[in-house]
Amino acid sequence: MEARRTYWQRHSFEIILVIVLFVLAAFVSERIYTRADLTTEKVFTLTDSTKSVLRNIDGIVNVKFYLSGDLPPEALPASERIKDLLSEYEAYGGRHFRIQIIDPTNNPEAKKRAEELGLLEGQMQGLSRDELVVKRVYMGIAMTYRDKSEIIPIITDPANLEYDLTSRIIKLTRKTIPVLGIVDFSRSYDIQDPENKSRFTTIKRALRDRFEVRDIKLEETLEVPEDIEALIFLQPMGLSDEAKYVLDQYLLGGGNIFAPSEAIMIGQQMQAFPALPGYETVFSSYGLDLKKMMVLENRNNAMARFSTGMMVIQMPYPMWVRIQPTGFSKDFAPIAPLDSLVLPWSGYLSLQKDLPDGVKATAILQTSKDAYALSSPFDLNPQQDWQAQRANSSKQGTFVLGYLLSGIFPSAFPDGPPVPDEDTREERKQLIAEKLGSHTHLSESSEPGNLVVVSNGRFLEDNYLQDFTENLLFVQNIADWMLENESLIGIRSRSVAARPFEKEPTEPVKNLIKFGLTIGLPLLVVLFGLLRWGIRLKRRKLIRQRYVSGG
Amino acid sequence: MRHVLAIYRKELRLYFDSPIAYIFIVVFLAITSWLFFRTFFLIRVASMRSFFAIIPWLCMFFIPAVSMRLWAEERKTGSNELLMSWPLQEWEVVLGKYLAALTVYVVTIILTTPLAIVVGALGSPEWGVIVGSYLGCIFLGAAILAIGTFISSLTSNQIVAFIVSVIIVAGLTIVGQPLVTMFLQGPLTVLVPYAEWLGLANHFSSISRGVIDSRDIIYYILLAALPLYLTVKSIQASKVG
Repeated sequence: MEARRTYWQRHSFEIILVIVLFVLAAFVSERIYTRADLTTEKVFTLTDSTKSVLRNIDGIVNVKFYLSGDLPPEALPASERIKDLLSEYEAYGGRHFRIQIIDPTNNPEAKKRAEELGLLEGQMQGLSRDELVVKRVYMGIAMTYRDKSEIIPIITDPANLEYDLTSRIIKLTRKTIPVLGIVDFSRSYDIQDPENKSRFTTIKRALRDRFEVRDIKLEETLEVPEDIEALIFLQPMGLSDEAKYVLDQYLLGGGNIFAPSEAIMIGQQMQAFPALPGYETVFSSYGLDLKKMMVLENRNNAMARFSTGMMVIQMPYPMWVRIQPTGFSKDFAPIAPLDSLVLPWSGYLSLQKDLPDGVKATAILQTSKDAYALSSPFDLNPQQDWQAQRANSSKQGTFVLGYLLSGIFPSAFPDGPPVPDEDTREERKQLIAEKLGSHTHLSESSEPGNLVVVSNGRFLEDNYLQDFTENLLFVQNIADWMLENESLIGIRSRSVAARPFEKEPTEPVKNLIKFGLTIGLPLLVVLFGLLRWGIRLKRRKLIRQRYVSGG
Repeated sequence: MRHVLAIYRKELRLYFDSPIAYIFIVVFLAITSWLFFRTFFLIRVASMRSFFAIIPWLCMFFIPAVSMRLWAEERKTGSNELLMSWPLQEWEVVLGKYLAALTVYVVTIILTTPLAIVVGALGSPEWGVIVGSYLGCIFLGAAILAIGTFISSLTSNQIVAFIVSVIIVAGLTIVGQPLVTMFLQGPLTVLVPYAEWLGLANHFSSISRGVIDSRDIIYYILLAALPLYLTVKSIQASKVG
């Protein structure tokens, strides 16, 4: 015993040294590592954007995943997927990204905290012992960083989770508030309104909650301030050439523009006309055309209210197109999870045959294949024969109502800034000389830019947002993306196929598999053991006999 | 290496000539299959996630049952002294015995592949994930077995070796789980990443979803190598006294 103790004492230095070497190896392996994603869709491979965001977190982002323990079996794959993705974030975020999974079931305190954070208890249905059951469950995420917090109230489909998480981390950890410029050309419908205010007050208010929103008086100033990271312009009809030039140069300088563009004008007396030329004269130079035909959907449309004098009637209105979940591009993560958008009286967009080199176009909003388009003159009567209209329409099929153009753009003004007409006022001439003359003309983008165009200018107006709040979500997501797109680039929506059974086995087959593998397979092992034992016994007997006979 | 192979063959034969390996394999297969099929036909998804999720918890009990006799029995019967009188290096004996026990475990894991065949017959599973998970099972088992080997070398009582191994492996399995880390509040939160790094199950969860991370592999290699090194030292110590 004494000798053994002496041995340990004599070798203690060596042992400690080896342990230190092991710890060192572990330390190095934590810093220099590589990961291989064996899934076919590479669902656990975070994009470089996300990895970069995680690497640059200064401090700790705490993530609490509120997940009910009694989920229906159908929700288990989604919950697993969320946990997996969070673990991937943790793997890259290291000590700067902490996860806690909380089960609020039978935990009133956790439930109360979840409610305070704004997490919702959603309804999920599933099969339990062949019975359809509806359960109220939590499956939402709350993220906190210093004194700020962000939530994902309920996650029904984790396909877009990487975008949702990364964009929220950026928002939480961002040191300055991004600046969004709004160019608003609209005037209130109310002619009694002394200020003749905008028709887009709701959207501006909602965006002010998230960003620093600045009104840009484009025609008066002929400039977009340098700190404006993204620009939304509303109702840009009748733009001057100088204003168009400023927008062109802003985009070519690496700017981000969201341009809902009016294709159909609706008069006070409910007459409709193709809209006056607006910003489309600029983006046609980038390879995109705004078609001023009215797009209709006899099935996928929104309810509209019409006054008949005595009463208001509400009915499905094919001229108010409703984009279905399948109509949102899955290649454009900010809007991929949306399931509805209502576009009242829309035109459509079409790409030119040859896009300029360097411009990449992504169709982000599409109608169903049952849509059709009508040419002017437009009849807005809600009680007309829509089937007949469809039958008579010259164009039927899927229409693109939203495009994202990104990359290197050619200037819409290849010859430089526009020259003012001779009859332009002197003050204006001076302004043009001052603002456009001093500017270095870009004949093509100096940095990649982004332009999102929707063939509808009114879907964000106050009166539509009252009824169609999903439209607000659409523009908020676009604004988020425009202001963070460099950090969010490449994040795509990744649907994880749940890989359900391709063929459902019958009950006897299920039992055969179940009992065959639970009892049959172990029995085979037992049989093998017995066989081997029998052979050994026989061999032993033979040897014994040989020795006995030999003796 | 010739000596290692000789010890390996002798030990492996010993396992399969006695009921130990069969009991281990049969119980392991029956329990894993039973637990797997409890939810498999209910969820109706061609995946083996639920199977691999239970492996660390089963290994916690099953592998110490294999490793407990590796050295403890030799010490009890005194056959270790006979073994050590042969012209063999201690590490050769340790490695040979360890690899034989590991083979029993690997054979057991291979015998669960009919489950994968069933999953493949009913749908289109992620084969990469399944192969990666099996690889993870082997790494996990190798680490636990090495810990059990070391504990077994410290005592002549198999039951003591089993209980102590289970306690240590259970500690390592749960140390990184929320069950433990949730108690690390306030200034103790700095310990959370270390606890998570130490957790056996944490490293396995990444592998079981189909992500092979060099950090997890190195963790398991280190966790297997260190106890084996200590086992060699322990055998050398027992030789001197």
